[in-house]
Amino acid sequence: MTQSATVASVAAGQTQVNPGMQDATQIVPVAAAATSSKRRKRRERHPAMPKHGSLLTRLGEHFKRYWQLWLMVTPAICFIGLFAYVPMYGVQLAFRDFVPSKGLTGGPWVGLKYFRQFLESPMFGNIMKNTISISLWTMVMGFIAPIILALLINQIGSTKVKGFVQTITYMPHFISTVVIVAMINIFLTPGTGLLGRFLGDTSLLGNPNLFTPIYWVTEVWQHVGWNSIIYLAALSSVDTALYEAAKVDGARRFQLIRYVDFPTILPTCGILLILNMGSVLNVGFEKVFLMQNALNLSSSEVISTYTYKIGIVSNQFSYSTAIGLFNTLINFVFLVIANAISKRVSETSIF
Amino acid sequence: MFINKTWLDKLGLKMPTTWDELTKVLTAFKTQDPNGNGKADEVPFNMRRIDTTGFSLWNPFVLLNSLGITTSFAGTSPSFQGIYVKDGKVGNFLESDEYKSVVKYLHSLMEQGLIPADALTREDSAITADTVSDGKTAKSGMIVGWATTDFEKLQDQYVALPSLKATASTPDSEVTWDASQDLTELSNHAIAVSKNAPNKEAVYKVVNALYSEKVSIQQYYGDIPEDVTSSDNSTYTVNDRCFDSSTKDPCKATADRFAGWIPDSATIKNDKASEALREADSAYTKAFANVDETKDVMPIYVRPDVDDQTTITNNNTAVLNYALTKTATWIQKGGVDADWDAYVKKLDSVGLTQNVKLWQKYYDEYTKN
Repeated sequence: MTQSATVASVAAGQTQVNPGMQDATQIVPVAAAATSSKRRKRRERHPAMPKHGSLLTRLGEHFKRYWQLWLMVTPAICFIGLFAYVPMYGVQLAFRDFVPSKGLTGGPWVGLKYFRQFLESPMFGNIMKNTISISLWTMVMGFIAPIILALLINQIGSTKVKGFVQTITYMPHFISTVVIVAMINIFLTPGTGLLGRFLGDTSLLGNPNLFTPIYWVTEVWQHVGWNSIIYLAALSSVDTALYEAAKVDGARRFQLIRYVDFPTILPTCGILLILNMGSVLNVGFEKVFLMQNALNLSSSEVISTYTYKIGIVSNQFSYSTAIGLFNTLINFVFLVIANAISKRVSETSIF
Repeated sequence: MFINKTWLDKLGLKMPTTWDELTKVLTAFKTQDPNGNGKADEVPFNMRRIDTTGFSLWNPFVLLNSLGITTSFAGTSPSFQGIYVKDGKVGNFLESDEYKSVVKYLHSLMEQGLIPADALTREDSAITADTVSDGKTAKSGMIVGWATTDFEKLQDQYVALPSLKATASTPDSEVTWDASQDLTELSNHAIAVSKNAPNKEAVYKVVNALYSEKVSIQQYYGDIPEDVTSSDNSTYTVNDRCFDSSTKDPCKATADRFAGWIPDSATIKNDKASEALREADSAYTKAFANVDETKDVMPIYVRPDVDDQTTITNNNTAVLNYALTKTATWIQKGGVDADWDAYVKKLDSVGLTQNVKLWQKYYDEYTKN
C-alpha cells in the first residue's frame, strides 16, 4: 500500500498536479473554453499564454490566472520535494566507496563497481527469479481478487449484510505483518495448527516450492477487503437507470455485472494496475524475512532480504545501495511500460 | 548442552557419553513418559532451527566438538561462517567429513522422531515454550543453550551435559567444546572519546565516574539500594528479582552491555546468572583441556582488512545461502551421501576455498608472535 502510494505521489509530483489530478485537468480546459473558445480553436494554444512576450510575462500571466490551483498543490509539492527528492542525493552512495568517517559524499568515486558486483554475483539469478515470481504472483492475484470481491459485494441487497461482509473482509488489513506471519506459522504448525493438523508432520513453510503460493495467498487474504473499497466506490456511481434499462432488455444478474458494473470500474482498474506495476519488484522485506527459514531459503531469498544481509548484517552500505537503486530502476521501467500499454489500450494513463 | 537429570534418574539411565548413548537416552525420553503426565508430549531434543544467515548461538552443530573441531558460535567469530582452526591450520567445516557425520547423526535423530519433525521451521517462541514449559511439568529432554537458567522455574531438573564422544572408540583427547572468546573484553560496549571533543577534562570526569566501582556495579546489576544492596564498601548482594524474567518490575541494568569495570576486590553475592553459567561451564573443563586458545581457535583479535573482509562477506552470502539450505534439507530428508561431492564442488566454486585462504593469511599474520 505504502509503495503504491509513494509511486502515486511521485508521479503526481512530476506532472505537477495534486493527487486529485483528474479534477484539476478537467477544470483547466473548462476555464479556458469559457474565456475564448474561438481563439483557442484558431491557434490551438492556451489563451492564458499570449503568443508574443517573454517567458517571464507568460509565466506571470499563468500564475495570475491559476494561482489558486497552484496554492492548492503547494503543500503536496513541498512534501514530495522534501521527502522524496531531497534525500535522493544519498543515491550517490551506490557509486562511491562508503567511508563512515567521511560521510555520505566523502568516499572515493568507483562508478559502476557495485552494480557489476551484483550482476556477477552467483546469487543474482536465483534472487531475481524469486523476486519476480513472488511479486508477479502477488501483483496479479492481488489485482484480480479485489475486483471480484467488489463485484460480489455489490450484488448484496441488504445494507446490513453488505456492511458486515465488508468489515469482516477488510479487518485483516489492520493486523501487523509480524502478527500475520506468527499466525501463518501457528496455522501451519503440524499437529496443532488450524491447517497444519491435516497436512502431515512437517510445516508447509519448510517446502521451497510452496513458499510463493503461501506468500501470495496470505497477502491476498489480508488485503483483498481493503483494496476492494476503491472499486466499491466506483460501483456506487453507476446510474441506476442503466440497471433498469438492462433489466428491461432482459439482462440477467451475470450480464448486469458483465455489461454494466465491469465497464464502470475498468478505468479504475487501469490506474491501479499501473500504480502496482511501479512496485513490481518491491516485495516487502518484513514478510519474506519473517517467513524465511533454512529449508525454504532457496526460494525465499529476494532482493530486499539480500540487501539486508549485505547492507545491515555485513555493513556494506554502498553495495546494498547499489542493489536498491537497481531495484528502483527496474520498477521504473515497468511503470513506464505499463503506462504506455494502458495509454494505447484504454486511453487511461497517469502521464 | 543441557539434559534433564530428573528424567534420567527416574528412568534409571546414566549420563550419555557418546552419540549412540545419547540416541538411546532420547529414545527412552520419547517412549517412557518421563514427565509422568500420561501423554507422549516430551520433546527429546528441543533443537533450535538453523539460522538463515549463518551458524548462530546454540545451533546443534556444537556436536562438531565431538569430532575434534572446536567451534566458537558466540560473539563475532568466523565460526559463524564455518571457519575453524585446528593445530594452526584454518579450514571450513562446511566441507569437512566431520560436518557430514553430524548432519547424518541429526538426520537419524529426526528420522526416529527424537527431534520434532518441524524443528527446522519452528520459531524461537515455540522452542522457548517447550523449554520453560508450564513451570511444573518439563517437556524438553535436551537443549543447546546458555545456562540452566534457560529453563526458568524448571532449572533444578537440568544439568549440563559434558561434551560427547562421537563413538566409544574416539580418543578422549579429540573431544573439545565450544571455545567462544570474550568479545566484550576487547571490543563492544566501551566508551570512545573523540579527539576533537571540547572540554576533554569534563568528559574524562564522566568516564572516570562510569568506570568507578559503585557506578559499574549499578550499570551491570541495577540501582543501589533498590536492586542491589551493599553492606560495606566492597560487598554487594543482588536482589532475586533481577533474575526473574516474569517480573513486572525488572532491575534497571544494562548487564554486559555496560561501560565500566568491576574490580576483583568487589564481592558480588547472589549473582544467579553468573553462578549458573559457571556451573554449566564446569562440566566442560575436561573438554576445554584439549583446546589450545590460539592453535585450535581463531583468536578474536584476528581481523581481515577492509577489502578482504568485503570479499569474504560476499563469498559467504553465497556459500551460506547454498550450504544452509542443503544442510537443512539433509537433516530433514537425508541424502547427504549422494549429494556430498557435488555440494563440496559447488561450495568451492562460490568462494569457500578463497575464504579459507584469506583467513589462513590473517591467522598467520596475527599469531606470528
